[in-house]
Amino acid sequence: MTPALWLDGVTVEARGRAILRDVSLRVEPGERLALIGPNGAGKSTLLRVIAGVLRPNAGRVELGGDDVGDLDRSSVARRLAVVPQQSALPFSMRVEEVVALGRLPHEDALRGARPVDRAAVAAAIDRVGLGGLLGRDARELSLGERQLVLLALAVAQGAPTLLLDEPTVHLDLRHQVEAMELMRDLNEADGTTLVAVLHDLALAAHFFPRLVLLDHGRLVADGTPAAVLTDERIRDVFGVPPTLVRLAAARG
Amino acid sequence: MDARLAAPRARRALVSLALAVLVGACSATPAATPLPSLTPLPSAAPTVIPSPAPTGAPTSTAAAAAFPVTVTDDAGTQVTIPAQPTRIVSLMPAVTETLFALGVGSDLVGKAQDIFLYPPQASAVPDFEKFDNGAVAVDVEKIVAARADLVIAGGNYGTPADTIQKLRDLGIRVIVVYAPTVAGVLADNTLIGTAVGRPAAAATMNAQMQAAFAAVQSAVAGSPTPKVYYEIGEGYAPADQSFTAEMIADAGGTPITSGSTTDWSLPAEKLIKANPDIILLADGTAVADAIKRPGWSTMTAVKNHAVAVIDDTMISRPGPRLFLGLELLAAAIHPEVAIPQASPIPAVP
Amino acid sequence: MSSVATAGGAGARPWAAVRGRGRRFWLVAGGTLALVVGSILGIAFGSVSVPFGDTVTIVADKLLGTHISSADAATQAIVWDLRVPRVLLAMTVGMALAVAGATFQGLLRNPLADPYVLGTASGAALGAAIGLLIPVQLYVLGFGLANVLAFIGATVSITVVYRLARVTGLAPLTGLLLTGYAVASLLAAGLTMAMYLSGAALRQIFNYLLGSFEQASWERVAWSLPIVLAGSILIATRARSLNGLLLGEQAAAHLGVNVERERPLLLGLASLVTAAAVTVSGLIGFVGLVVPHIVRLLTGPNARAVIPISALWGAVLLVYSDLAARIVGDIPVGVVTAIIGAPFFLVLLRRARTGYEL
Repeated sequence: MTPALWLDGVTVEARGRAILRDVSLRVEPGERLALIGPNGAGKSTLLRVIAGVLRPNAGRVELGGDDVGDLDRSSVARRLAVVPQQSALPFSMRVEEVVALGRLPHEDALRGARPVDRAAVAAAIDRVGLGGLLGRDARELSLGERQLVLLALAVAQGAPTLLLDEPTVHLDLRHQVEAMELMRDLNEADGTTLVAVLHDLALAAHFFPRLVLLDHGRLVADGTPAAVLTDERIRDVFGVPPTLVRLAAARG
Repeated sequence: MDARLAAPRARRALVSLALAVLVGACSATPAATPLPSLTPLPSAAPTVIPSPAPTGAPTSTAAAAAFPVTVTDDAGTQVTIPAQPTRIVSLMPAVTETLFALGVGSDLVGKAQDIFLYPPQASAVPDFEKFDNGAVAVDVEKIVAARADLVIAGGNYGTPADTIQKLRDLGIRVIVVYAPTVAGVLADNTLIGTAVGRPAAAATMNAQMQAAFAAVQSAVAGSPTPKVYYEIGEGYAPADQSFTAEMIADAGGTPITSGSTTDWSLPAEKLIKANPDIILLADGTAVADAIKRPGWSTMTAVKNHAVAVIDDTMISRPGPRLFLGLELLAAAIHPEVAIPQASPIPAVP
Repeated sequence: MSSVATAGGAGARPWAAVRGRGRRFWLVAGGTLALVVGSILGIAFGSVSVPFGDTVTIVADKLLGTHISSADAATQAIVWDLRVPRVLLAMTVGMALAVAGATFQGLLRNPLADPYVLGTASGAALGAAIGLLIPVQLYVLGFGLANVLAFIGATVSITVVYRLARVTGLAPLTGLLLTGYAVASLLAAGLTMAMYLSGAALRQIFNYLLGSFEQASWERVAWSLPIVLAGSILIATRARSLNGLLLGEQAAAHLGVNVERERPLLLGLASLVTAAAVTVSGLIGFVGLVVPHIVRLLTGPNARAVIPISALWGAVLLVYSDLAARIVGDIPVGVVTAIIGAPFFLVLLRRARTGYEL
């Protein structure tokens, strides 16, 4: 089966430092994995490489079997939807207008939204459960609600793979869990391949069957939460007593 | 000048000038501006109206008037001049010309910068004021360092008011001249003449100017007066009752004015509607460029090729060459008339 | 047209609530009507009173080749050579400024951006000031040296800003904004110096800085209208990219926008259009800032609506502003747009309950 994502020996250097060293990763369609690691491990950089916005100094990146460097941005956007970290909206925009942006890769340059686009937006809003927020100004929503809006945008994009960059940052626990459950649902019910960068180990361990651990730019572990989050590794990579993580994971 | 010999001549000058006053006061033309009043001996108010009757003033340059003298300048300030000034600063190009023509050019220690410098002898005088296109910067330090005993400044923002005040605060004698009419020019000549001790020379100058004016006016008297647009800038025309409007009228034209005494702007629509017979470009615009402006082709002046460039310097400068400017204007407005060319007042007597 | 949120309506049809569907129609229709009326008023009114009948017959004659008018040549020239180009020029400049403003606001994600934000204004002003100071007479296609240098100044300054911004280590948008500010300050210093040295030309420089359509002519229309139209149309066709940029350059890239190509392209088009506008009319403020805002409030941020509707209403605003300026007495039109624009802007700020977050 053609992998949804395939990275082989990806190295990224900047200002003489290696941000990613020889990272290889293979993600099959329908998989759900969390990318974890301490700050500065290179998680966001890896995301950018996968999304094709950052060209690695070495190595190969393939999306659905094609080298991402060969694909134009629209093609990439149709295969891969990215939910970035929240950014400010300079203008007042309604929830449905934000979600509608997800259809951009499919839109005709001159004619704009077609009925199929409008249907996709409606479906995405329903799927994510945003019906009650229709017509609201996205800038006035809570962080949790806004995160859902960005998620709906990505869903509307209709790409088979979803990349999420720290989707639960700034969210309170309840919303974090809601977001995680939604992601699991998208993956299990719709078959969307999901790669999420997470800093919360407990959430990652609870909701994701596969964890990929990055440390100082290297991929140091790739497997089930139990296999990846060994005591030794927690101590070495994160520098915290392993019991903290165990407790949180047990509670979740 | 020798003060002892001056007295009898001065009295003769006084008498003839007094006669001139009487003659002038009887003439019909109203003065446009109030006369600057000049107090005591030996000066007296001259004719302020360019009247057809030439005055009987003596042509010889008068000896220096007796000092001290108190004059009232055009801003209404009374200034006492204790002795004949020997270190004069002129802050207006017209005043520089006047001073040279009065014969005291050698007493000038500082002048205003003048791109149309006249007379050439003035180039020896250092610039105490920069005068770029209307922005005035007076070097007060230089005036002080030169120990000027008389500064002649321009009114109506010709010299910044605070500069004048600063000079006076430093104890420097300043008289302000401002001539919004031709009559005012003559009055200023007298004022300046008195202040520098050359009242007779001033009277002579005025007589010559009046005679020249009269000659031009009578030469064009019989002719019809065409409508003249005198362009001092695109979108501008002489204000009502302004100096330039008066000059145009004296030269035998009907000036197209802005319609206001304070605002000099004239929208293009109004100009086209006014339809001048003659257009004189005094702002340096070339004829070929001006006639291309939208709507200009419909004006009589353009259709008759009566658009010409004219040198504004002598027309707008209230100095001894003013009548030369009038002759220039009259020749431009009435090419069919032989305009008498009065001999210029010698730049340095 | 319903556009209000229906709470608890998971079954509500979201796309029935598309903002501005009906509104867009009324905005276009209303704008067109306003433009037509404004044009008629602008042609009928001036410092010389021309009977309305004459105005109509003169224009009809010129457009249809008939000879029904009995007005004299001067009146015909006033209407056709002075007023009509003036109205057309106001439309052109209004369109240019509104479109450029909308584009810069979208590109820079800054609701305070206007067409002059990246140094165009300062460059044009300095160029014009230099042109007014140099005692060289140039008259080409109805433009003096000041206009030519204004155009050069505008385009050179935006190019300098763009080049310099790339060298900074900052994110592209931040770099552009800050570099634009720095270059504009430098040019403004140069302008102050020029004004200081200018003397009588100061009045002309001020007139330029405040903007005016006094020098309108068919030649200026013929030069500027094609540039502005072409530029605006090209920007309108790139509405999709502008929409993508609403969430930021990163998000835009993820949505398939070729940011590296679109950014300079949109910047260049908006700057060109702005440069053309400032060349023919000087610096007219507020149009480029306020019109796109108001349009966005009514139609939403979709550039497909914002760009053309801003163009239309920018033209309307300037036609009426110029008319007002003429009625009041030939004051610079930039004063009128400021008087209209500033209160509008304050109202806008009050209505914006959530502020602009950085």
